Amino acid sequence: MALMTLENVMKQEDNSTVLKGIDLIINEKSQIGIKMTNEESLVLFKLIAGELTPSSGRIEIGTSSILTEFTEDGLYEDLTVSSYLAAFKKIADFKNPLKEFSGIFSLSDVWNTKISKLSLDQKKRISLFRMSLFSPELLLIQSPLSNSTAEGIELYKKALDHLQSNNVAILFTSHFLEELLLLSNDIYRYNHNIGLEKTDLAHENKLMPADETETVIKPNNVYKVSSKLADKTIFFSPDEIDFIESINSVSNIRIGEEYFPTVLTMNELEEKLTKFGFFRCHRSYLVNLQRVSELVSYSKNTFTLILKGSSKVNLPISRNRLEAMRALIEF
Amino acid sequence: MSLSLNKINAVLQLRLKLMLSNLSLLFTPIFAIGFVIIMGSLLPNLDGGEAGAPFSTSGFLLSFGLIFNIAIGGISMSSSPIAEEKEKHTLRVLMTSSVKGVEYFIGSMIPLLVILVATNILLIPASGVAFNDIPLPAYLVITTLASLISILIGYIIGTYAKNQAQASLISTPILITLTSIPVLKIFNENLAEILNYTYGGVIANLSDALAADRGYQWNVTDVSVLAAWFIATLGLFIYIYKKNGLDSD
Repeated sequence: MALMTLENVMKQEDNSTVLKGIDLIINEKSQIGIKMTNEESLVLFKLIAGELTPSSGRIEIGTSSILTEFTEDGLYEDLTVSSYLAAFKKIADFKNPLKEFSGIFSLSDVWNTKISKLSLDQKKRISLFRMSLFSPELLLIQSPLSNSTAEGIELYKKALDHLQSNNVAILFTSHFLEELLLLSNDIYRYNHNIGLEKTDLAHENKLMPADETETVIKPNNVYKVSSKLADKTIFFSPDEIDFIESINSVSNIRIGEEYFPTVLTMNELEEKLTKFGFFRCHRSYLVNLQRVSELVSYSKNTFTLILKGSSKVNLPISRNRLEAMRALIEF
Repeated sequence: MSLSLNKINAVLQLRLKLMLSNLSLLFTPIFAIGFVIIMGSLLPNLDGGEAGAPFSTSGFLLSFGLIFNIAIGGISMSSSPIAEEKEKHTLRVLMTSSVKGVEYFIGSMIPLLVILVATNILLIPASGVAFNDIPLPAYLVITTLASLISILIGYIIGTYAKNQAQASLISTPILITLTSIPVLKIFNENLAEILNYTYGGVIANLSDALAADRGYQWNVTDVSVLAAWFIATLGLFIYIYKKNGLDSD
């Protein structure tokens, strides 16, 4: 049985919709990442923890052992690591000696150090240690690796492996997809127009051998733009992309507020994406016409395309390209 | 609602550790004793009987020390940690770690009450009032009940305030009013009558009676005033807690 099932969940606060179209199943041991804002994440966590009731939709809760950690959560900085964790050991009624686990969370060398003297990486691991004392079935963690160092990320992932070996499911949220790629096996993006969308991921070490791929039937009319980040390759459907920008001869896919580099050139991308409604409005820009909301003329020969969304991105379009666009979308 | 003794004990130990790691919280009771000793050495030793005026130095000092400890100490020592925990977002962590609000309040109250009661006792020799002349049970009951009322007022402020600055802002006028009681009682008879109905007024009456060697007699007014203040502050605290919660953010 799933630990948590959310079906078409929608939540309104102060007459505005904070979340909608949330369909999600959290199973035991799963590590899920959702790209969303802090405000959306706060509401989602409170819905899952049962602190808020959804405006519509259904939440089926299969566990009551849920703990949450928000980015702003603090520690008692005047205490040492050992005395802080000892206090929560008592609250959690945790039986085993804490020192046994200090190595797993890479805190052995700072065991008797005041928390105020520790780095952000170490503090994040203390929080994880504290939560593990309660033997939770589901952890909800907000952006744990923001401002972490490379070593900090590695040690945090090591501690996560320990939790996963104890069948703990973890749901991470972050504003940055790169962070979620490091933490999760399944990644979703929250789009306030359409809800939760699953992102296709391919792990480098899990790619099919060449001989097996040869026998696979190749579907027609499927195209995804790929971007390689760390050891993962992330695929974007054309309809997810706002526009593509060439920066220092590197094509960067722009989705929301984030950029993802791709190895394809602008010409190659234009060739592939034209049939999906993309248009080369400028030498350095390839825009998804479905995302264009306005065309503004600031002077006789200067035109600007304004895209949908909160950021209101402006893209340049030259007069001759405007004629081509006019012919294309017939306005 | 079932309370866990284990969790109350855990919160109590946590609060003790925090107090020991940051001794600034203990400054108020230490200052109360220190001020009484310093003022005792500076003020002339007057007695109501000898000077013909309704004033006694040791009574004034005990009254001042008790008000300082119970009002300033009790309120600030209970409101400040809650406001600090809210500001630093540590209270939310505690609350989501299966600790109930009531367990938190009881666990935090015990060490505070012990410190306040111990200071109330130490103020007797510090103010120069003879220990043998004190009816200890009455003294302990009244000062402990008054300390509890102060802690509850501090909890109300801490629960209502969103941060330490706001808690200080709300506490200041209350503390000024309470600490002025012994002086106001001396200089204005009409006001003294009204102040008799405050819990600070009851403390001032107790210390005056002890210092004037009259001995303290239980009376309906003092008992009713303390009981009414305790019930009112407890009721207001429960109302504010239910309305705001411990960590409404």
